[in-house]
This record gives sequence, structure tokens and C-alpha cells, in this order.
Amino acid sequence: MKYIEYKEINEKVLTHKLENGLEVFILRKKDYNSYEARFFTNFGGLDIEFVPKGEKNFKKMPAGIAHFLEHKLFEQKSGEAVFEFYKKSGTYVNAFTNYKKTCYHINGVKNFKKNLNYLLDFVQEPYLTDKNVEKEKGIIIEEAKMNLDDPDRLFIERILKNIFTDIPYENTVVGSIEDIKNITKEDLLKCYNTFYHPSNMKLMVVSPYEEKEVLKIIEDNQKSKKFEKQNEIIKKEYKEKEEVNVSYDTLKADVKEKRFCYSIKMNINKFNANKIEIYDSIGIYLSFLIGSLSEFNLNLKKKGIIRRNISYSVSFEDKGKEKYVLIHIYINTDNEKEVIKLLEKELSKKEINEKDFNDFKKIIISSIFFNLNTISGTMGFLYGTYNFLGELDSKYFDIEKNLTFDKFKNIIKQLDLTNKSIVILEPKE
Amino acid sequence: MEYKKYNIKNVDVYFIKTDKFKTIKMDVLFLNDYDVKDFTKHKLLQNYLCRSTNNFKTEIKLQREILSLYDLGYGISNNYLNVNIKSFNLNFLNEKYTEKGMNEKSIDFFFDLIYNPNKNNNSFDEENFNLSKKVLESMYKRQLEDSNYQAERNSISLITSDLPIKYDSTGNFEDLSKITPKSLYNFYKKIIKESDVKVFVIGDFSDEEMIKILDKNLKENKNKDKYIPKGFKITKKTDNPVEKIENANYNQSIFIMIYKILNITEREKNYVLPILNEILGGSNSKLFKNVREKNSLAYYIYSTRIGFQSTLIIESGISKENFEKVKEIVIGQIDEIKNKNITNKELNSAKEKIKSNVLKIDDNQGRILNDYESEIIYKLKNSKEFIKQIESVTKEEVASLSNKLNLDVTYMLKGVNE
Repeated sequence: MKYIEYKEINEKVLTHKLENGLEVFILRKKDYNSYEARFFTNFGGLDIEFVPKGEKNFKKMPAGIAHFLEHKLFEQKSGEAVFEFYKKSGTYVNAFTNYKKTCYHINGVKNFKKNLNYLLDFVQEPYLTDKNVEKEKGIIIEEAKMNLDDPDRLFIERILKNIFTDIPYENTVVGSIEDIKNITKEDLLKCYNTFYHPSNMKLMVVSPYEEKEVLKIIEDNQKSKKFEKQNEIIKKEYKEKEEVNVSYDTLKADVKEKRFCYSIKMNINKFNANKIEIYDSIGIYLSFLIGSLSEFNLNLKKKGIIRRNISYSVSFEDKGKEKYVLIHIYINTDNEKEVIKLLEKELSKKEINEKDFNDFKKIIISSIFFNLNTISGTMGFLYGTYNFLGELDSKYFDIEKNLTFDKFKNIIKQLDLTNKSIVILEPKE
Repeated sequence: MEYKKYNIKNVDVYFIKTDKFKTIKMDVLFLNDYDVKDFTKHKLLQNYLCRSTNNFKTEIKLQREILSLYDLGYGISNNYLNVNIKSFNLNFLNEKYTEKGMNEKSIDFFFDLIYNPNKNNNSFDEENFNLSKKVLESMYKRQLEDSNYQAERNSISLITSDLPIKYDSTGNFEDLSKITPKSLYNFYKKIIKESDVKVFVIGDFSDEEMIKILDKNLKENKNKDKYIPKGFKITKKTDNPVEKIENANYNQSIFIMIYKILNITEREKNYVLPILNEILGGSNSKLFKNVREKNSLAYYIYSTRIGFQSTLIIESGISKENFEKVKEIVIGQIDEIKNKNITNKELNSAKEKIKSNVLKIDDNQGRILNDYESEIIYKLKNSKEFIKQIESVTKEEVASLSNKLNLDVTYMLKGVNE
């Protein structure tokens, strides 16, 4: 058990690993009324090939199984659904599944101890029957259909599929309609037993209550349960080669405006820096060069070549053996060929002065403060930081503040923008 | 939290002091009459004013200034009852975390945005005007890509009473094409001249310092308490509800039912309707349980109440062949409520949800300000009194209100890609 302290922003986090392997993070917001808790597992849309617990061989599951399982954990043997229970105290409960994780979360004001216990209980006591699995298929198929009508979602799915060769992004988080129909109760249980052991899960709590009191609630709950020993989970290993899968592609959908995404994939080993330094440096660089404040962006808007501000994101891919940094640049335009040429020219410039660098750094600092104003924002900060870095450490906040201009310049010098994947999203007609 | 009221240049100013948050938030409200024909102008003005000022004549100059002010947040929103409440919002990092003098600099910048827009002679700047116009055009095009938005607008436009909600408050292409930099400037001047102004501030600051800054920046208010926000009451019953089905290239169909609420009382609007809405179409509600869980007919189904316009809207994503079935279930569940088939659990859960929401207000600066604005401008009760009233609502009242529900529109945007 230890405290991680963020002195400058006046917050601290208690962290502890329980005997059964569950890792817990607790942050206290003293004068607040509400609380939020997130209970999540390292099991998401990409985890469809693995050795189920107790077996010897790899099994390939239908896509969408992590998401399907998430739906099913809301079913309870007693007949009182999870929603019903939390409704009695006006507490919000929901869950989400993405490519990497499944997360169950609650947000409320009353009955903290009871509700936190119930969160742990309902996720740790699955109730699956052939009947309730069959019933869920209709609901999830409607969800899949809803997603097929979401062009921005289809766009992101295609972008990821085209960047990665080995990591199975051709599968969507919800799965295809065929996949959903093929999911069985037995497969769901195999997934549950393999991935929902406490040693593969984390619990985060942001609340007004004293940290050690909260920890005691969790420990008492877990002590009363018995978990079998868990060996390391054997997931299919993806090598993931350096080159992008598809370098140029067009997706037709029900959109009125053409736009494109220009993605760049870089091996993280190319940079002699840690994740935060890389993330902040690239963020500052792109902000300055092509962001809403840049001459590049404004000139293209003025000339009517682009319709809205250029937007971008920086992320990391940890799934394969080799780790990658990804940049995605989104531009809304009909003249993609011309804009791509101009963009590539701009990105190769690699110039920024120290004053601008320091000004842009202010955004990073202030966004942390803005988030910490609310319980949800604080949880977002905690959850986001942990999942991004794979750990929480107070030195990361120092790094943000102390990122030097020299370090920044060295990172930018190493940017290799040649390994690119472009997806055009255009109207059907 | 308590507030302190001041009068600065005939403007009502309210301070809510707390050191709980790391930022200071300010809402400057302009109350004025409006015409639904001007919705596009309001929307365009919203975008134009946020883009540049007389001191920072291009977007890039403005944004760089914001950066040096520690990336302060600002925006403009519009609310339409019988009057327009235009809210200019500011949120900035308290100077105790940045540098001395930042509070004043941030607020000065904000009022520059409100009172010192980018203009040449008696017209707004053409270049920035055209950029704002392009943003709206892009927004309208994107709306055409959103199946839910399309279904909502198409169905709401069929409402038989003349309510503001019938008209898209984000505007439209046709009206946009008729606006010029000069006509928008005149529109802006009229709003500034005729509006009643009220200010709400929350955070950790000294009254004396804040009064000084506001006194410097505010203009004399000649319209104090001139406008009284009120809702719309519907008395006329619809005997022949509209039913319409339209085709679209989507995989899923969007199903909407719109109910008018006849002769709603103040008590019903403020306290009974939220509970009825929660029981009928909130989380794990009658509709959720019967349409989704029991019959697997939808991934989502919910109801939305617009109390000030006496309207209730039910929306769901379904497969087209289930139109009649879903309609039957919705009508059936409303009948259940009419017949007082509401369990104690349902009633109490709805109350708990609403009360919980209210108790969370103090954890969010924006919501605290909205709560005071509701109390002072819309003359609604403060949170403590609100909770008492919610607790007093009975099953009979919920049933009685449901009997005032009058079906006006049933609509489906039929997905033909299935």
C-alpha cells in the first residue's frame, strides 16, 4: 500500500494490490457529495484468440464476445436486474467495452458502501443461461445495426484496420451480425473464467471518503470470496510489422462532406524518451504546426479548401510485440490530393521557437486542472492516465511541467512521417 | 451554498463564493424577446462573436491570446422560452495557480468578446462573417448525416401546436443565405440595446476585486427586469394524431411518438412530469423493460420531457417490421400509468434518481450556476425546496398527469438498407 502524490495540483492516490491480485486505486475529493467507481478488466474487442483457462489449445472466439459478456453480467440470478438495484438509490450504472478493456462503472450520492459492494458482487457473480444468452442476441443485433448507420464509427474502424496487419482490427468491438448469432453460453463462460479473475482486473474509486476506509470496504468484500489460483493468461501474440497494412483507401458512406484521415505509424523505440515526453512533444508540435491556431489551418480555411479546423490525435498501440506511436490527422475537404501534398510539406518543416513551445505547454497544465474540478473529470484523469501509461506515478506530472525545449527538439527530430495510411471518407453518390 | 447579490450599473450581479474548485466560472445572461424566424441569425451570431474581436481581428490572434490566458474556456448558448436567454459563459483557472493579475485579464478579455466585436464602420467584418457562415453550412450538412437528428426534426415539425420547438433552433440553409455582415451587425446591436443583463459568478475571489472588474466592464442596464420567462401552455386537444413513415438509406429505423400535455399546471410541470418521465422512459423504465428487455425489440428507447413547451417525446431505434408492435407497447405502458399501475418501487426509484441528480449539483460549477439562474430567472424553487416537493408527489398525481397526455405525432424514419 502506498500513496502517489501530485503536490502541485493538491491531489493524492492510495494504491494497493490485494491478496487475490486485484489492484485498487483510491482518490479522495473531500468536500464533494458524489462518488464514482470503475471496475475493469483487460479484456476487449481484440482479445478473441487465447487459451481458455484450464485448456491447452488456442481458441478463436466470434468477434464481439467481450461486449456480449459485458451485457450479460447485468443479468442476475435473483431476478432483480442490476439497473433495478441501483435505481433504488438513484445511482447511475453502466458499462462499456472498447478494443482493449471492459469497464463497469457507477456514479451516485447515496449508499456508497452498499453500492460499491454490489459493483464487485454483480461483476464477480455471472449468471448465464441458454435462454438469456439467446434473448440478448436480438438486442445486440440492433446495437450493431445502429453502428452500421454511424459513418464516423465505420471510419475509425477502417482507419485502424488499414494501419495494422497482424493485430486483428478487422474485428469490430460489437461484432458482425453473424458473429453475434454464433456466440454461445459456453464460449462466454470460457471468456469469463479466463479474464475476470481479480488479478486481471483493477478498481478505481473517487469519493469524498477517507482512503483507508474505502480500502477496508473492498478488502472485506474480497476476503469473503474464494478465487482459484490464476496462471498467466496466454493470449495470441501479435508481432505487428512496421509497415502499415493499406496505405490508401476509400470508404463510401452516408455522409454529405468528404473528409480524410492521415495516419502515421512509428516504432516507439525510435525515440529515446518515455511515453509522456513523446505524447506531449508530438501534441505540442502538431498543435503549433497544423492545429486550429496555425497559419496552415487558417489559410486553408480562408481559401475555402478545408471546411473546418484540422483535428488530430496521438496514441500508442501496445498490443503487439513491437510498440507503436500513432498520429491521426483529420481534414474535412473535397480536394484531398492537393491538401495531402500541402500537409506533407508542412509536417516536414520541424520548426518551432521556444516561446511558442512554452505557450503551448500551458494547455497541458491547465487541462489537468479543469478536469480535476469534477468527480467525473477526476476519474477520467485517473483512468486515462493509468491506461495510457500502464501505471500511475507522480513523476509523470513533473515530466509534463518540466519537459524542456531541448528534449522536445530531440524528439521532434526523430519523427519519421513516411509510414502513412490514408483513408478517404466520401458520400455514396 | 449561499449567494450575495449586488447591483452594478443597474445589472443584478450574484456571487457564489467557494474554494472547492480550481477555476472561476462566470455566466453573463442577456434576456430579450425573439422571433423563431431569427433562429439562424442567433446561431450565426453565436459563432461570429467567438471568432474574433476588435482587439484580436483574426481567429489566430484570438486563439493565441486565449493560450496566453492559460487556455480559458468560453462559449455562448441560447435558450428559448417565451423569451430568449442568451448566455455568455467563461471558465478560467484561478490566478492562485497561475499568475497574479490573470483573473482581471481573463474577465477583461471575456467582456471584449461580448461588447467589442470585430466590425468595420457599421458592419461586421466580411472575412470572419464568411468563415462563420461556412461553419454553419458544414453543420447543416452534418445534420443530414445523422439519422436521429433527421427523425427528430422531421417528426417535431409535424407537431400541431405552434411551439418554438417546431422550428430548428440551429437554423437552416435558406435563412443563412439571406443574412449579410451588415444585417447581422444590426441584429447584434438591437440585442445589446434591448436586453436585460444578469451576471452570476462562482469561485474563490474577493468581492471587492470582482466588483471593481465588473464595474469597469459592464454597461448601464436600461432594461432591468423587463422580461419574464414563462413556459407554453397547451389547451387545444388533438383528435386526429399525425402518422407518417418516411424512407431513408439507413440500416436501422428510428421510431418517434410525440405527446402534447394539455393544461399542465406549474406543480405538474416542475415536480410531477420529471417523475412521470422517469417511470415511463427513464433508465430501466416501463418502456425499457417492455420494449427492450422483454421483447428484444430495441437497443435503446427513452422519453424526453420539455416541460416549458408541454411536450413529451419517445424515441427508439428499431427494425421496420416492428413499428406496430412498438407503438402498441408504448400506448399500453401509458395506459398502465393512467390506471395507476405504478409500483412503490417504480415511484420511489424515480424520486431517488431525481433527488440524486439534485444532490450532485454542488459538485459542478456549471450546474450550481444553472441552479441559481433557474431560481432567480425562471422563478423555480431552490434545490432544498425542490427535493421536498419531489418527495410529496403521489401515484395519483402521476396517473392524473398521464391522463393529460395527448398523442400528436407518430413517426418512423424507415431504414431501407436492412
